[in-house]
Amino acid sequence: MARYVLARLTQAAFVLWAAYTVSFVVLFALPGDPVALMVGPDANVTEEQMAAIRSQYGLDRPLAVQYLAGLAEATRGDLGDSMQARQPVTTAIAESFGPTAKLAGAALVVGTAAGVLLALLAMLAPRPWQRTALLTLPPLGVAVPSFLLGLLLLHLLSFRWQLFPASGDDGWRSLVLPALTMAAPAAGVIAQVLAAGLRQAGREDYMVTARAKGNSRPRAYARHALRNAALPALTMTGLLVGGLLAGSVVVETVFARPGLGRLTTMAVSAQDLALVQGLVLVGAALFVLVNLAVDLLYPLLDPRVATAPRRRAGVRQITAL
Amino acid sequence: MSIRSRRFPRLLVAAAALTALVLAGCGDDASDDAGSEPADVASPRPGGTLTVALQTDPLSVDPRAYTFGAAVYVTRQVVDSLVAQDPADGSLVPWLAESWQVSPDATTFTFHLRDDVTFSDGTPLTAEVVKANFDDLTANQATVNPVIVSQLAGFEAATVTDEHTVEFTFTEHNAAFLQATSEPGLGILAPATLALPVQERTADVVGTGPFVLESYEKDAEVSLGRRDGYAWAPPFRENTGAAYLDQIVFTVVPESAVRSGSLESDQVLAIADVPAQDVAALRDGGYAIVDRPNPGVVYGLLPVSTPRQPLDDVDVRRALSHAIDGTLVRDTVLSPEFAPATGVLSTTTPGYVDLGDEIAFDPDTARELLDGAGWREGADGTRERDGQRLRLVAAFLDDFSANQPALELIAAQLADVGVELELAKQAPADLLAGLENVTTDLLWNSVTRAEGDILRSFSSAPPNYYHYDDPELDALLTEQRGIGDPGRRADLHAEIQRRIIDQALIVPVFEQTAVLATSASVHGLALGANSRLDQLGDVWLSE
Repeated sequence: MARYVLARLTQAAFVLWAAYTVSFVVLFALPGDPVALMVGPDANVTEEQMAAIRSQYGLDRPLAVQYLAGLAEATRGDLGDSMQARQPVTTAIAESFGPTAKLAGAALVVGTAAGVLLALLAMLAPRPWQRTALLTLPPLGVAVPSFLLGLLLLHLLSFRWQLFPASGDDGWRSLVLPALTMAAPAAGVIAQVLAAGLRQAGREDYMVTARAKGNSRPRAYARHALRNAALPALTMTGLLVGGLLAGSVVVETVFARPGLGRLTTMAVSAQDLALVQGLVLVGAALFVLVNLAVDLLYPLLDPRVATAPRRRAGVRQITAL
Repeated sequence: MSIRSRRFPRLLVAAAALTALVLAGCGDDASDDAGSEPADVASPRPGGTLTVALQTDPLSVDPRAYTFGAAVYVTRQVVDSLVAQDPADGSLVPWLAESWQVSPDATTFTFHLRDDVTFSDGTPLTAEVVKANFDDLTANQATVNPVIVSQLAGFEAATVTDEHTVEFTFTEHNAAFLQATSEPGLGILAPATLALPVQERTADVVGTGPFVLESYEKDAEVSLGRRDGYAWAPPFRENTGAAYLDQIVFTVVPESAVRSGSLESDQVLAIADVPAQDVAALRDGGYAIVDRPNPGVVYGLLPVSTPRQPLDDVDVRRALSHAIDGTLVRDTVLSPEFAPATGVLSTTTPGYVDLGDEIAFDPDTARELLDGAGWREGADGTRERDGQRLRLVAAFLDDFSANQPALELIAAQLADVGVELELAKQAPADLLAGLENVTTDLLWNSVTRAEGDILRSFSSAPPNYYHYDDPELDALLTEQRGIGDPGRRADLHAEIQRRIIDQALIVPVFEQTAVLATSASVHGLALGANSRLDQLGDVWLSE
């Protein structure tokens, strides 16, 4: 087990290095000079002034030096200074991390619960049309843009009935609407995958055995089919964390919450190189960590996985890509 | 099993009902309460918290960090300046300095400070502190906002001549410096703030203003409290003493629909950047609209003229001015608060000259000018010359909600006289690249500053993104920097504006205008000479 974890950590380090390198290449291949961008076309700013700003942020060094120095500093946990936020990148990200973690965590819990519930209800629905009706909901959850859903919830539950505040990060009430908005697509994905898994499991022999032993249909599904159908859903949940981070850009903007999504919007629009790169790295690290956690959870759900973790993990990564 | 199956449809019905409710809710707008009773003009009532929703985060509470609207809204509350600019006429009046002298060549500025001013941490304001502020600015040039640094062009030294007198000397003429000292960017910070490294001033600033910073949480809110004992507001304010409000809380709400909804559901008392389409509904709902044209260069199309055909021909540029009807643009895509442009500068800019007649909407004149320049109507209505179509690319940023609809209307108006306008919505980096590589013909833009020196954005000095090349204009722009006397300088500014319009270096369309909305219970909220939120010392809340 220790060796397995070590191998995965090495892999993670490689992923982070690749993320740093690719983002460096992409960012510096973008048109435009970040300093000229910061100044804008209308200010009467002299060339000397621009040069002073470039040297302040180390942008006057050759690209290779910027890359290697940046990489060395990054391994020591120093991601440079953000030009827009006017603070170290690590500080800016650390400050924004908490609010997003809270929001994404709540959305993941609500989304998972709703997704599992929906899939089970659909499987247990006694009439075909009921099942069909319920199974149209997950694609709807995935298809409706968060932006639209968010404004809809705001309009009704905040502006009209004033049940929840429209904006801010102040207590659980301010978390309800954004978490629901973010949970909808997550619930949709989980319900779709789980429903497919349950349908598959329902045809297995052990289900016939379970029913023959006197288990009711719901009980057979809950105790036997769910456990087997959960594996792909768990994989999806790992991938969803990435989706939630991406979703935070829209949801945090609509609900005016601080967090990584808002930070990303600012960093990208201002071409704040150090900050964008820091966010890419943090995103990659999170993704790697969550998927590692998912991999380590597999053996608990399905003891067969523990016997061949390496191969299983490899297969899963390919499907993830 | 049978019980369960009966319960099922009920759940579905509930879900369907909820969906229907949600859909029905989108139909009509909630314009219920929001009392429309007339504002009682009784005496101001102290106390209360004013909540203001901003579109963007101020990014820093350090006034030297940013000069954009939201940043100034916040920093203005905390810092005072040496001089103040009266929004009524743009004149400069005493504030922290009770008087000043400017040398005739605008290279020496002497300020005599009030002797009764203290910072909110109790430190007294002295000439030494003012000098320390400018020494700090010079030392931190690379981290201070570039626009603010450019206002100090030629700054040599600040010298303390007595406890309350400080003299600034410049190695080059800098007549615009006096107005620059009225902006928060050159506001006076306490020694305690100057002692901090620049990075740590992002959320920690001490000034002499009527409000004191309590907390700043990025992308969320800025909280300010009343400064007790404040007694040095500029003379044009109603209340020169301590503010009425206990507290101001600025929140950041990026979506305009959410800002309007928050105001209408009483979750905030004031909102900034009201989109044009919401103004009428808010006014009908009993909310007060607070608006003021931004001083500076009006919204218009800036031709990248010299190196690129066909706009290298001044008659083609002039034709564009006559082909566009700013009033129709205002009536169609903006709100009545906006005024059509009547020159290079907006009416609130000191030294503004009305050149409305020179750029009047007159499509026949536009057609004559284009005919004269050799551009003849082609088969599909678009003009042609030597087989080349009269087709122009206009680049714009998505930084103002009316940009796209205004430009679409302008394109239709230009099509009427045979000019094809292609719109290119661009990211800032692409926009700058397009100007540098001369792949765009026109840039849609406006610039805010309450000083005639803003006309220098038409100068050919580097970086000269627009590729201007007008030595006569350059000479005038340089000359106005060296005149200490405001009257003589205004004459020169008038001449510059005429030259710019004559050469059609801008195709003016409408005046950029700050539009805010407040609940009927908010009184005394006003915009400053820069059309940003002024210090809120006059503001009070009724029940």
